[in-house]
Amino acid sequence: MSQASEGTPLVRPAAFGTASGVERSLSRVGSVAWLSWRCMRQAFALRRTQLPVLAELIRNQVRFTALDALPLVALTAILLGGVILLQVLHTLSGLVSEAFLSRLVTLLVVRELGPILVAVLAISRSGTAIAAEMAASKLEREVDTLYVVGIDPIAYLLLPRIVGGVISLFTLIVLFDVVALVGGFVVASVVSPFSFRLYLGALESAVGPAELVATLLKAVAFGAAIPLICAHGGLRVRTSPTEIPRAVTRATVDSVITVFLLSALISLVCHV
Amino acid sequence: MSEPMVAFDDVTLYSADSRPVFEAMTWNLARGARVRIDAERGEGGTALLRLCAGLAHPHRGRVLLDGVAHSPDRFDHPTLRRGAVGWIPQNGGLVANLTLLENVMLPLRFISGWTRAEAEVKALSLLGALGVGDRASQRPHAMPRRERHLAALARAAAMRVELWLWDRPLNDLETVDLSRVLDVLGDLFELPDTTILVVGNEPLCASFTSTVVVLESGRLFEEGATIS
Repeated sequence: MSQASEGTPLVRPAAFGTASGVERSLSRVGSVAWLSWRCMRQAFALRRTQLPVLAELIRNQVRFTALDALPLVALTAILLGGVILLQVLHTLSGLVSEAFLSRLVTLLVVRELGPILVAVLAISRSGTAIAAEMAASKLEREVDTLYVVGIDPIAYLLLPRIVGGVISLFTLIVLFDVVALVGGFVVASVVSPFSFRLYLGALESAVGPAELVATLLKAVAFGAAIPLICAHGGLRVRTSPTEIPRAVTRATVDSVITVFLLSALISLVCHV
Repeated sequence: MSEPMVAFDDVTLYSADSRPVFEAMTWNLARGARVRIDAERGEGGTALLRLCAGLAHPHRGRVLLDGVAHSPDRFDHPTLRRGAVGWIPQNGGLVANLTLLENVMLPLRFISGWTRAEAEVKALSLLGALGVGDRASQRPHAMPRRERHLAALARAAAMRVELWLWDRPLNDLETVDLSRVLDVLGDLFELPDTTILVVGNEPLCASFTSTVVVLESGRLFEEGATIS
């Protein structure tokens, strides 16, 4: 008997049964790659008249992922910037110059910590929401309905979240870096006297074109990967609401691992 | 002779517990036909509609919509893509995070390229005519199935669909609702190219269908003869 399928085939069927962990992981990677390809194809197939509808969805996504997350990101940035500056000053003070310390902190925040932390915050707030929403849509057969009434579910459900994710991540990473560096200086200077002129000079020398390119690349990579992986995780539920928590957890873990891998890769390419 | 709107070609479908739902079924739904499938619950009426819509795929054989076969590997269908199919499942099949108004407007804007203002006027007039205009700004989860069902009808009517796939109308609608639906949508149902496939054993469906096909034990019977 050949295999029949039920429901709109948005994602490849998972490897079940006797498949090993490695096989299941590879199956997931392949399925995400397949979904990415379909997203790209769908993006090029969009008609101009469809853009206003998608623009509204993108705006909603940016509001939820970026605007609503501003206080959390700003608070995290101030605390992290201050703590790092204080730790570095406390540990290395006397061994190297203040200018070097400022440069070190800037590189740490702008190149690595800023993008990674923003991505983790975005996964915890928006990625989980996307995974749960997609799973509920699948179980409620909304995906099926969209397909039958002629609205491509990939164009309607996934593309706005990916574009919104990229815009949001870029905005939040830039904001995080600025707040962490300026706010961090303010927090650190309360505890330990520190020359703002020197700090500013170090910032100037540390942030060059490579940092800007890396930030942009990370924003695009993380902003696209997080909604894609989380949506994919949600869409893999099959029949029961009890699958939703597992799907959300798996999507979160997959997203975090992917973000760390991408971050390492982009840093290697841009800075080594 | 014109292409049938839906063609079942030697279709075999099994349920999740491997029970045959349809076995080697061959059946054509002619363009312009108005057919009621008389089926008890669990006889496969909903499965038949899902096969027509390309939401279920048979274990053997194929289902053609407007001459083009549905396929689980090809994720679009030209007839579906142009919004020519009206899908009214039992729960209404609306998008949960959109209001009733937005649900009706969505295909008009996304497929037909209407502006927001144009689509809003059309959607409001249809929702109003069907008696749910006052709930247009509410989301589907906040209302009973009756309103959702009527909104799904408004969505299909707005697109002037060629094929209506309608699952058990009187499951959610009152008799008086169905009369109003026929008053409002009767002209659409009468268009020569409009094909209707409705599942339900309510005699009231006879007012907008002309043929009754009985679905029993995975077989279709028309006018006393087995046709599959």
